[in-house]
Amino acid sequence: MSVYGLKKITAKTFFWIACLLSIFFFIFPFLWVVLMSLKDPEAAQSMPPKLIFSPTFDNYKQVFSAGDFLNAFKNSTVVVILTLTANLIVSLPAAYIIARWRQKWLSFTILFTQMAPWIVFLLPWYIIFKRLGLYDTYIGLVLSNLTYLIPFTVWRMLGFFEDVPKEIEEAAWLDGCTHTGAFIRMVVPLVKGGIITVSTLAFLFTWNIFIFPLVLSGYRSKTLPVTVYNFLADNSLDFGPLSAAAVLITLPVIVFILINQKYFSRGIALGGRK
Amino acid sequence: MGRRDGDPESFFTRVLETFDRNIRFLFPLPALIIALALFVYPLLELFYLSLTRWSLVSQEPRTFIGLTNFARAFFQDEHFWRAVWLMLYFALGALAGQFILGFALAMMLNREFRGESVVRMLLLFPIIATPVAMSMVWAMMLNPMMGILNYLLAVVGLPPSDWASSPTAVMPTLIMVDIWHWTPFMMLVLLAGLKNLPKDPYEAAMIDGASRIQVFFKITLPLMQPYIVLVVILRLIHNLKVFDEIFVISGGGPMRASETLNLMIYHQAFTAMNYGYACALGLFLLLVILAISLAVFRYRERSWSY
Amino acid sequence: MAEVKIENVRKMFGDVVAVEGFSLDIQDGEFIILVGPSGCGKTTILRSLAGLETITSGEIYIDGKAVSRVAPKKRDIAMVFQNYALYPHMNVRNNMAFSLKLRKVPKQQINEIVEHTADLLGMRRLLDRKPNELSGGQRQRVALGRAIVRNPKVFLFDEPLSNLDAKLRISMRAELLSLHQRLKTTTVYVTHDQLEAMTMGDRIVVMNNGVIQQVDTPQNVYDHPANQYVAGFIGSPAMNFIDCQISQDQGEFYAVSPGMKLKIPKEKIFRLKDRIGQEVSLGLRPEHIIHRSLVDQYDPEFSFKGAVWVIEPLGSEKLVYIRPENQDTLIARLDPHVDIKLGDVADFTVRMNLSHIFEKADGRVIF
Repeated sequence: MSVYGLKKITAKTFFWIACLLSIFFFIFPFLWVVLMSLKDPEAAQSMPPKLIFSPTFDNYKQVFSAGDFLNAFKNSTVVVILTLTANLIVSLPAAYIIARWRQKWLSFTILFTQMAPWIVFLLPWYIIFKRLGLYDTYIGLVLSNLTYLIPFTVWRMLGFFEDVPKEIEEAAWLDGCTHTGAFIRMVVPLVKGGIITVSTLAFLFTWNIFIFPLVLSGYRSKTLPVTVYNFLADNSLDFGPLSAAAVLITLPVIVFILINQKYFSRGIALGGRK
Repeated sequence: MGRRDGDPESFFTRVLETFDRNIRFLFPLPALIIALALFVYPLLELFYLSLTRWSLVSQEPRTFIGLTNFARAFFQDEHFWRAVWLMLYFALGALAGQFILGFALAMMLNREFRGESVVRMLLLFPIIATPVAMSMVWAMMLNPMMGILNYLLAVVGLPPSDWASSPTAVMPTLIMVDIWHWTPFMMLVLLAGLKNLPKDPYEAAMIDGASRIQVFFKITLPLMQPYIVLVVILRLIHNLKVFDEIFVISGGGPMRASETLNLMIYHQAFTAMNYGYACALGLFLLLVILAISLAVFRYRERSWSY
Repeated sequence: MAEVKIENVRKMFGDVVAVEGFSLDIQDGEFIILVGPSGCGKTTILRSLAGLETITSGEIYIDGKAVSRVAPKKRDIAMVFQNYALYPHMNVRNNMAFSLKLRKVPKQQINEIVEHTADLLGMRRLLDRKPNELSGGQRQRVALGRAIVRNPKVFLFDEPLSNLDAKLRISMRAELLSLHQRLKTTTVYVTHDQLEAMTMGDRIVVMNNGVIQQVDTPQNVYDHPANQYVAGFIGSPAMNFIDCQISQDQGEFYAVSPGMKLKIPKEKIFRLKDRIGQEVSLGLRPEHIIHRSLVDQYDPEFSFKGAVWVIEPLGSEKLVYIRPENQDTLIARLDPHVDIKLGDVADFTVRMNLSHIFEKADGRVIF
């Protein structure tokens, strides 16, 4: 075998080793937590950590019966559904109009909202929401999420709306459609791809967001991230159940994103549509 | 053949028609209202509160004290500038790590290989997993007694660390977690950039006999410049705002050793309940970020290198 | 079916005047064509008829009703767009049925109408396909079908054939005309192709720079152009223009130009009475320049000498580029069997009675 061939093999092996190492580095915590969630207290605490053990689902049972958890799960789901729906209803028409009648100042405003430090807004929100009775409500949480999602959605959808040829709307108008009708029946179906992409990212954001519900929700409307944090802070659970909780909260979003992977990757790619 | 002109129009129809004629203003209206109500008005309230002394616990009424909060922050509070520094330290440290590691990975993955989609999928995990949950996992792994990380250190012969429990090690620890969290994102973006690069310069370089290092510095980096600048700035700003990880893993401790400005604002508002002071700090942070955003915006408007 | 009356319409986009002083009466059932180069305002007028643009001043009447403030959907007109504008997410059947559904026509009736129209256009078998599965010509038909199904008062066509290849264009032209014979709907058709205009219209409206240049039947526009612009726009190859001076010599009038001196026919002289010594533009159509060998009675006063520069044998005729001395190139359409070679210097006779003379200043026709 020539030197070049040998070089190629070494390079390839090197590549694969590096690949595996990186993957291991990034995946490791996930593997660890899944293992931990299946260990009984004794196995969980043993050092050096046991790789072989008899798995148990007790931890999961403990988490479910920890009262808060199911409530938090319900809250997270409700908030996500409400937020995503409200987001589309509010953002799509706005993005459509902006796309058809371009405004320049918008770019900066939207850019800024993507960069704004949310903790800063939470300060007045907490006071205002309490004053208006929006504290610890679904509406309050939905509104806080919308503040971020609306500019984001509008920005992302602009390109998609611009790509819909105006003639199709004009043909619809001539056929007897109202402007609103043409928007709903013609334009929206044609930007379906964009809608799914944006909603996938919106789901990710809304499910995972911690700081908003941390401040704006109380007992009733606490979402999963806050509840899980409470488990940790209150020392109310051990590593085993804590791991189970972490798995339970992360699982839906990982599964969801993996299913919609195509849309997610497209959404991440620096929206070259500015 | 159905409705024709001349049919009497009901009130309902007329309302719909008026709506339809004005969608130019009506469609964006809800978004605008939300923006005003949740953005503009709260900022005004924030501004006002920052000029008051207001504790949420004591019975004292809210008093207007002008710029005293700011004076206190700038000149008296011994932690304030520390918090600012910690915020910058964290942001830049994490950025450097994410960038170097991300770029290396992007370069490495910039080829076609079997299992490519699986690798890409796996690398997505840190980005999409709920940050609070993963921070909790890290908190557990970093536990000096029961966490697995010290065990791993021992395996390779290194002394154990206190990780997030040590005032000196806490920041590097947090930076490490953030690097773990966001490098895949950096990598994906840079990879997309690399894939979009034109092939010609590389072929020309190959013919000219350039070495790999030369190719990297003279071709890859310059061509990647727009992407790099963009993603670096975006991540920098993002890193300045990181909250979840720090909050969950160290809570700002031990002894405020990791209390970035973000955390400080939170604690002042919701733990110490010095709401007026917290608002002043928040306003400061807001202005800093605003300034940076403006600079970014101007820069982008001016410089498309090609 | 309806009359359309456009009265003194002016359309401005911001500070730019796109159309000025446009007035036109279109008869019921007429096929009228707006023709002109890009930017001449023809599409603007069409879209104003549709209601897709609002006019700045003036009025438009469809079937006697003033519609300039009426929304497009209420004007009872159908439009075929240049890019067809088919609804991409609907199949052909639904594309055509859409307008009927909006008007709450009973389903049974919709199907009848759609299928009848599909038969008319020979597209029965395409009904369940989606636009992206169709060829250009097929999409064209669907766009047409969509308009026909509406049974509107007026059809509007926005350069519908310009995206088709040459052969398809020719066959579609014929089809559109035969459809018009059948349906007899008033039609306004926009194109930049003067050949299309000439072959399809009952009357054509030549436009330039937002202003009507001439309205008349194709033949009249060809034979009697109102100005130099129309004369040069209509007809291919284009009319030749020669800068001349009118001179009088022993009672006869001549158009004089370096290398050429052509006599003005007697019957036209009265129009040039006051213009002796003036600069004018002489227009000669290529088919009115004849090689000496084919002339019965050669009269040098109606002829000129020129060098043959380029010959393009087309089979049915020869296009010859002639360069008279000190003159720009002229194009002539000669009999295909004329004995002529490159470089020959030959005599050519002009049918001066069919020639035209235009004002130098504004291009208006003198005769």
